[in-house]
Amino acid sequence: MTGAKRPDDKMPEEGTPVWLQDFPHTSAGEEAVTRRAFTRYLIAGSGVFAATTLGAAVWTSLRDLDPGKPTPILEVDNLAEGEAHLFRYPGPDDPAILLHLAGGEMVAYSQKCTHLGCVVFYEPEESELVCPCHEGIFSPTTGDPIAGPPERALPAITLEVRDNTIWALGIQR
Amino acid sequence: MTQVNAPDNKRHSAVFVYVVLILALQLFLLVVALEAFQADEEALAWPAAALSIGLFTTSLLFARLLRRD
Repeated sequence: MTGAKRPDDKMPEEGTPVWLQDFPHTSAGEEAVTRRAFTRYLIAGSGVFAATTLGAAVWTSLRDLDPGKPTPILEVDNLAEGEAHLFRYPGPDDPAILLHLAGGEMVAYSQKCTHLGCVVFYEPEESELVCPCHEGIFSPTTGDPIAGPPERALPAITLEVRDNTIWALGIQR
Repeated sequence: MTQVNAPDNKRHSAVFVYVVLILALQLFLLVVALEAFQADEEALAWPAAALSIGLFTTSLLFARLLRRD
């Protein structure tokens, strides 16, 4: 090694942070984004988060406005006792389930689990509606949650029999 | 190297930390709102949105503490 000094060997300026004295290397463009500018980007991100959260709330409210209109589901004779029939209600993207319970009672619910929206299915042996995602269990007679993480009942669909056909009249959210 | 005076530097650091904390809370609230959306739980989605907007307003107030160029 010769005694020639490199550019970095100069004495640090007064007020230079200790970390910069210990590691006195800089590169071109490293000041392009200052902490102040980066903080402003984060604040803009905060606005995006707030807008998205607000959008989710608005969408949730708007979706609740559709109670459904009277729609025929199927003929009474086509659903034996203990069986389930899947259909869409109130919209074409809303899965629903019609149950013919022991004793002859007909009930229908939205198939969307009230925990995180997975589709529930009917387990006739256990006589329960089961959500496979987090093992939520609902009562088929009332739609109330009886086990697992769901805390609210499944939205019930009001039914009526007209001329041997089961009709869905509306959904109670 | 450009030297920034120490009080400004400390203030910017403090604002940065607070804004990062606010963003973390907002991320949590966004997840809550999306889960409420999935579960059709309006009663949860609106408070999450209100809190998130409140936090954004707070971060805007913090922005005023940043020194102008």
